[in-house]
Amino acid sequence: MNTPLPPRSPGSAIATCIGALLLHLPLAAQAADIVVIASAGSSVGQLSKAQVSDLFLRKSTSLPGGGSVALIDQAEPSPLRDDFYSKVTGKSAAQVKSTWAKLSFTGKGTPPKEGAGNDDVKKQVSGNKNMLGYIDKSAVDGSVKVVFDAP
Amino acid sequence: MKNNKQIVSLALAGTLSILACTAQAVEFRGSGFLTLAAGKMLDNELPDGFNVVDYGQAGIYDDNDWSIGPDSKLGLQGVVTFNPQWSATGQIVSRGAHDGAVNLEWLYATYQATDDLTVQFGRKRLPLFYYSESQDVGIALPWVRLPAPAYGWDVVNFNGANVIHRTSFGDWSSAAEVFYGNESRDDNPYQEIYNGRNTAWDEKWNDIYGVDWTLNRDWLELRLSYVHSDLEYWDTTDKAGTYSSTDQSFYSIALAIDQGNWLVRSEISKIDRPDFAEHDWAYLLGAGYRMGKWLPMVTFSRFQGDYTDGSPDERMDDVSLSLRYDLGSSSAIKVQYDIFDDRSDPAGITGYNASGLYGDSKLLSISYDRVF
Repeated sequence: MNTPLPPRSPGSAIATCIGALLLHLPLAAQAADIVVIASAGSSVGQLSKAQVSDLFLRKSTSLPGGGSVALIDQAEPSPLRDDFYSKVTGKSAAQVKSTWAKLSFTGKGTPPKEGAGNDDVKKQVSGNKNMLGYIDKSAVDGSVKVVFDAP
Repeated sequence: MKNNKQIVSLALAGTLSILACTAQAVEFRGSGFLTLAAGKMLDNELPDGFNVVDYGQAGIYDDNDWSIGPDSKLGLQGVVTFNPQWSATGQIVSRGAHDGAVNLEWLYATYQATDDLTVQFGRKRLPLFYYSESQDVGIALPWVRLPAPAYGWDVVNFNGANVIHRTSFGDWSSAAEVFYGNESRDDNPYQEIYNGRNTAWDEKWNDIYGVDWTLNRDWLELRLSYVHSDLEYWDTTDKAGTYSSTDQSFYSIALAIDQGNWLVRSEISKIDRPDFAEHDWAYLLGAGYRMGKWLPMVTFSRFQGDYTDGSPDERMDDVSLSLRYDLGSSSAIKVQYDIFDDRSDPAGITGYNASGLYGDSKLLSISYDRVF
């Protein structure tokens, strides 16, 4: 999330602080906060959930506003990967694989590259201005920027 | 003709050689698909009845024992990527329907001209209908196999070129394709279904041209297509006496829905072969409901092949009860029960058996699908 806005009064300052704290408190049953990232120097703007879903299911092949996109998945087995697809596309890992198999074996698309975990994905994304990947929010650093937050 | 294939192969080899010489970092990616399936025809009303599950490859159950041939297949695909624009793809397939013979079925180059424009040339699947190109990839299908009454024609692949243009407007994504090519199939397995097991018919589809348009939005996908070609075939033992030709047109509309846990697949196709006095309709309608890893589905399909010159009509219905279970993300197991109703003209429509008819039958099948 973005840094909190400057408070206007002590009361709202406290409320904002508490609000910010609550947002960062790990809630017992909640899975990881996943974010979609692009390279820090890339010109990719903020994306909506529908746009991310369409890109990762290859229903669309270019970024809104133009430009080709390269995708990177977290290599299986990965609870983060399953979580990402479930939250953003509503589809199970099997359904996503089925969609990509249909594209890949009929010459209509190349499946996403794979990265071995948050750090590898971050490294590959930061080195490619057209690439989108997803990582645990806690792994975000200055080499990448967040284009979508999947709460 | 064979010359056509040679020209395509040479053009492809030439292009690939040039690319290989200029490539800096060539990437290779291997992958594959496997279906291991067993089926058993039950209760055929005719003693010599049979059940065709794959017309294009002549996958047939013709006795009452379990058989793993008709639906089993293994495919290996290799993609060589020369640079962001150029790649070459080859697909080798071994089919139980062909006694395991290994064939290089597809070999084509892909040129990504722009972000939105893809050009491909070589040999690949002829995209007659919605599932035509993905027919052999088990995990992409909710069923053990495509509903036979609605799928499966004389030829399966073609040599030629296609251009795909992708765009989006609002919430809709669109992929429009045009393609052109030819196909020649010697000793056509499809013709054996109609003319008899030990016959050898050669067939050509010439001057094939087609357009298809796929639109999708969220949970909905719509596909429209039109394909036209000339067709000729003959018995190699008596070309002069058996030579037949016509032009043909395929029209098709498909609608697929994936909304929440619901799945709907539907397609209507019309096929005309004027010089054969033949006008066919094919229908498919299926509905399924996902429950976690399970997908039960009920599907109805029908083929109506009508002749206006007095030749016997070929008609069949199939009701399919299928259950798919996802073992993991890359593999699935399916069980399917088909109730096949042969409504063809009693005068007979096939030379495959003495009865001249398929016969009503039930088919039980189980399959394991995997991609790797």
